Amino acid sequence: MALTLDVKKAGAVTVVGCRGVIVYGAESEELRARLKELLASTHSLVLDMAEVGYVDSGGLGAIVGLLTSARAAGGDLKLARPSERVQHVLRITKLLSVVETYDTVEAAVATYGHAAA
Amino acid sequence: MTVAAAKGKRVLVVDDEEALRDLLQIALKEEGYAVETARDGLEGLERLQNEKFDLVLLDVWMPRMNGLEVLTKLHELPIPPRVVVMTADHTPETLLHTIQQEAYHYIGKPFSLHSAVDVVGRALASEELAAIEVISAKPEWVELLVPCDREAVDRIESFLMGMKGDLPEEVRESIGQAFHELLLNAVEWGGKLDPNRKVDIACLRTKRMVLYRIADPGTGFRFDELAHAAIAYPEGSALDHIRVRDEKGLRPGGFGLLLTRSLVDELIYNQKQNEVVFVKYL
Repeated sequence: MALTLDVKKAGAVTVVGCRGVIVYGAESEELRARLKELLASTHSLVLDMAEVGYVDSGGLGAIVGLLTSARAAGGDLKLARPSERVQHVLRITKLLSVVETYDTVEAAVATYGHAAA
Repeated sequence: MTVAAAKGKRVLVVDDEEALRDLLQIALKEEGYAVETARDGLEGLERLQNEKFDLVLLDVWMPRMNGLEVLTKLHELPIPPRVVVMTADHTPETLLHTIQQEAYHYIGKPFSLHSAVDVVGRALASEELAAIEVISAKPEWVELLVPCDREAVDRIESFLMGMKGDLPEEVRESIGQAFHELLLNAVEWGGKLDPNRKVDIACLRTKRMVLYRIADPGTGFRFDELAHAAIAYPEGSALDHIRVRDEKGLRPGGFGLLLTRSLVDELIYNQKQNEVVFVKYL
């Protein structure tokens, strides 16, 4: 299943709704390209993962690579609403200690301390 | 596939379930495809013999002529269309038959329209496919030769995971993800994504376990040379390998072995490490 991305603003935070799978190949390339574009203008990012069914090693690599780019630029990338399956993958790869995850988009946005629109 | 790219592509939906035929027709038309339907295998075959279609969405169990018979007869056409099989029949016999008859993909019923549209787009966008060769088609011992190609990974996963439909969801997901990661390693690192090279996959099923063996055509690797993989680092160093991959210009990733080790019960490499076996106990 391909990945579709829906970009919205919540105040100064950019929320990217993801739908599909984030896997090695066209999907993770699409995510990287789109978010790198966004990182040129915003460093506060939230990935809404509610409709992501599956993340593989390549997808994790893309997310972590983007997270390090965002942090290097003084910002961050946080995950909202990851499914139990995605959380399991983050847990066994020890990434839950690296990537912040939240139960709602609003909670993830609020951590940036910007006023949400 | 974009609407513009889909324009002019002809799709035939063959299913005896009227509601599903209509839903697929509407969804695919919205994407820009020219879509026709047939009520059973015989009607579908007649349409295919008289008109050119780029792709067929084919049900298996239908009155008058089943989808497996249609699939076999399609080889008699001068230019057979790509075939996506859609069925609730997850038996190994059916799925292995569809692989042998060179179906492009398998979608297990019930499925979302979104996933069906996605598979159709991929099937029509893909270039000429290297064939998947069936070495053993016994349900308890399946063995396949798969070209070292990214797309072949998706295709073979759809068929092999379809056969695991009787397993609990959690077990199926673990096996599926472990297989995905190890097969990607095999085609990318072992086979250098060269579709002329093959990965040998065997899947054995007993009452108490599922065993996969994946043998790639490469020269193997050593764990002490895996600075670009997360598995080489102690806990708390989750990002160290990302820096190494960045320096080496490798694509993002490197979590595959770490993931796999946690998902299966046994993970064993041969001495050269170009062959791996994993076991999931049931």
